[in-house]
Amino acid sequence: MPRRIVAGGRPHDWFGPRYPARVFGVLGLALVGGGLVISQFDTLLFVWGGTALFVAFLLSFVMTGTTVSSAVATDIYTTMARNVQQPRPATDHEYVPDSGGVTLVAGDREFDPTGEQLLRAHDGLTTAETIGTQLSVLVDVLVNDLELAARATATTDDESATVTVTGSRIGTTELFDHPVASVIGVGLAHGLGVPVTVETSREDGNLVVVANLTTSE
Amino acid sequence: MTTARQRQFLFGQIGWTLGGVGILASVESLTLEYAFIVSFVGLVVITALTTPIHTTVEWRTRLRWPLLVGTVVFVALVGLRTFGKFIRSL
Repeated sequence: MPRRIVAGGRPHDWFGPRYPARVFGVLGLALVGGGLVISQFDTLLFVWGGTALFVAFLLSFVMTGTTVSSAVATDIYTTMARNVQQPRPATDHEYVPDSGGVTLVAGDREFDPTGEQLLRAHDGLTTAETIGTQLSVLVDVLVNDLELAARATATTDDESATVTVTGSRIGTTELFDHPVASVIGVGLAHGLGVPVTVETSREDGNLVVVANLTTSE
Repeated sequence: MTTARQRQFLFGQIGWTLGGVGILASVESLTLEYAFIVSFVGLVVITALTTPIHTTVEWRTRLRWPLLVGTVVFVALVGLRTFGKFIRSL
């Protein structure tokens, strides 16, 4: 017997935590309406209503886009990483720049790295002067733009960089082309134009990414 | 649905506005004009303090529109006040 099964899209889903802009919009209209009726507190009600309407505006026109919980993203990434490593597990990662992009060489196979997609909106990453300037941009992107980590610190010398990431939003049980390491590997390879080998490890719950520039001698 | 950084920004903005309105009301000088100026200054300060140094975040670029409209209204209010004082002084 055919059955039709639906989840979501019901009237009560129209409000609620998935659509906070609508909640603030209705609250704002109610407060402004209250201000028109109750003239004793009209200024206060107009101000509160205006604030709620402004928040509704910010939520619907500035902070657009949907989010996925970190646990769900972790499960998707972990499964994909395991699948990719199914025939022959590879632990060595080298991000190699070529014309128009960066290729991940792991073991004897080549992949498109995750970082390539994550950094596609950042045009400023293609021309870096030093590893330090590039790394300061990448760490800022990881924490403030992609929001993949709560905190990231980096130390660097001329040919290598160590990035310590606290509170990675994507779980670290699998480390194949981990998004955090991938962003750093792709960003450095892209900006400096040399292949970058990346080693990723877990230390005290933190994710430690060590990137070494492969300078041709 | 908002990300952690966006929520941080929103909480900052709402907290600043409601706090400022509370202070204005407690000294009995709450007017729409003062409330607008307080929340506009809050928006400018919070935007300036939370913008990342080394990178441009896509959603933050859209903050320029409320900032632009706020600046226009702010300049208009200042202009009206100045003009009013100027007329009275004649």
